[in-house]
Amino acid sequence: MSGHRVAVLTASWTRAPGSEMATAMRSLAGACSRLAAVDVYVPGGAPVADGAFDLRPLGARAPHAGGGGAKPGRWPDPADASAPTAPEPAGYRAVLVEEGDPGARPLAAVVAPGAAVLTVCRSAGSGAPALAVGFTPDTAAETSLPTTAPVDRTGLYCRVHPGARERRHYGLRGVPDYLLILGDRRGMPVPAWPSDAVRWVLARFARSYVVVVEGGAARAWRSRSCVAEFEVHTRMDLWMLMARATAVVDLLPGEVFARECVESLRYGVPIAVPAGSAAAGLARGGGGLAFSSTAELLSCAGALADPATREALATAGRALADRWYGDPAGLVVRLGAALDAATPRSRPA
Amino acid sequence: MTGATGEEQARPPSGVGASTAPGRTVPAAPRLLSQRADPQGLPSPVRDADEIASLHAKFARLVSGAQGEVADVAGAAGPAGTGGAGGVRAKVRARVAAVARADAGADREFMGDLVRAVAALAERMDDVTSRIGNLELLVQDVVDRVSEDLTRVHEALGTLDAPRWPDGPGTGA
Repeated sequence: MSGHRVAVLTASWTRAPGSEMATAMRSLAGACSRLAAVDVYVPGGAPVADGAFDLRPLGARAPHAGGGGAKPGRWPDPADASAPTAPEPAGYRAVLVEEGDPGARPLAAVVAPGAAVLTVCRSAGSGAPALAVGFTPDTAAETSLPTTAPVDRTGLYCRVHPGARERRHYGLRGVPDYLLILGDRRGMPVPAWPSDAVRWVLARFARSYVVVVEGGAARAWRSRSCVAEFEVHTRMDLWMLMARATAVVDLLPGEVFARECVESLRYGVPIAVPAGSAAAGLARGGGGLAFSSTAELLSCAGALADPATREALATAGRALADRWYGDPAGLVVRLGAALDAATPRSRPA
Repeated sequence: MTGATGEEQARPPSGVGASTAPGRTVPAAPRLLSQRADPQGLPSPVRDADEIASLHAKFARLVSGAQGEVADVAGAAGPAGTGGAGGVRAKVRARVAAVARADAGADREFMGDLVRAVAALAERMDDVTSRIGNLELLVQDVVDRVSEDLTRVHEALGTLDAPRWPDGPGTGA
């Protein structure tokens, strides 16, 4: 095992480019490139120049090749990966694969024989060396969980536009302070509009303005009636809504690192999230509150209406998010340490 | 603004819930309103409108101007008791002035009534507007209080359901 290269095997990069796992893999590949040469492998298809990286398809059938290959979007059989289209071993130090992608791990042994295989995951518990990009606070209960393999918490770099704080979204018109509810998640069916949980919140806090983003549209509510409606076209739209909110309730946080929750915290806006979700660690870490039922959701929203509580959560949450998701240099350091820990003897001189 | 009328009508009414567990009925989420319940800003009083103010000002000028004209016509009639052709002309002028004065007086009286009626309507309209504004505030207050009380009752009774929140990591695909 030698070399300074790092391979990244990612199916979501091309299959679901907007997913959180794809975002995580892009962020980690970018950070890795500060430490080593990085090759990004994707299943099937043709080579693609994708920003900073040239994607190298694995199992793509070469025009002159008679066998092997795979359908675009699917990893090839490991035996086929050694066909003429497979990459030559390049002295890889480590391979990053995605959690929940069973086809990638066998290929890692073919692409990078002898390299350490690190699973990019939400949190600990996968049973293999891993890089956890989701945040889980260090508590006695969690550290006492039996783990069979080392897990390095790396975080990510999650960019937000600082100017979003200074701007007011045109769609808000005369809406003053408001609670922001994010009601859906990319890749999941849009729930019945508005969802039951949202209806309860709108009824319980009828005196307050509540802005609900579901299905790419934002609606401002007051007294159980819609007072403004506008589309959320871009990420900047969402950032402006987050940055001006008193608090953010994310009913369906992202499944890997809860990107919207991280972004809210980076704007200094506390969150309320479902217990057990990828964002629950952020809440437990001090950035917000977690709920497991509609009644608890209403309690959380009520607590967030208290300025003192909100201020305390915002301060702690912002510090946490900036440390783990807003510090690109820190990410490189943490990632370097994780790679060194996984491959101690292959550390370049 | 779009209401939720169509979508709302497709849902069961509040209180008729779907049962998610044997022996337990979960209340349906509160329905939303199809019209705005927050009061819009009231229009400015009609009494202070430019049109009404202008009407009063013009009528005042008309009345004061008409009084001046009558005085002029009466003055042009010359001193009483003068004889000859001038006396006849003076009598004719005086007679014409008297007739004109009578017509102008009737017109002014009618216009005065009209102006007073417009002022009364404007005042009544402002009163009605004020009452509607108060009713809008009351409706909003009722909606807010009933909504809060509804959820508080369900919270106190423990009848709010615990929905299944997704908690597992996905594949990212």
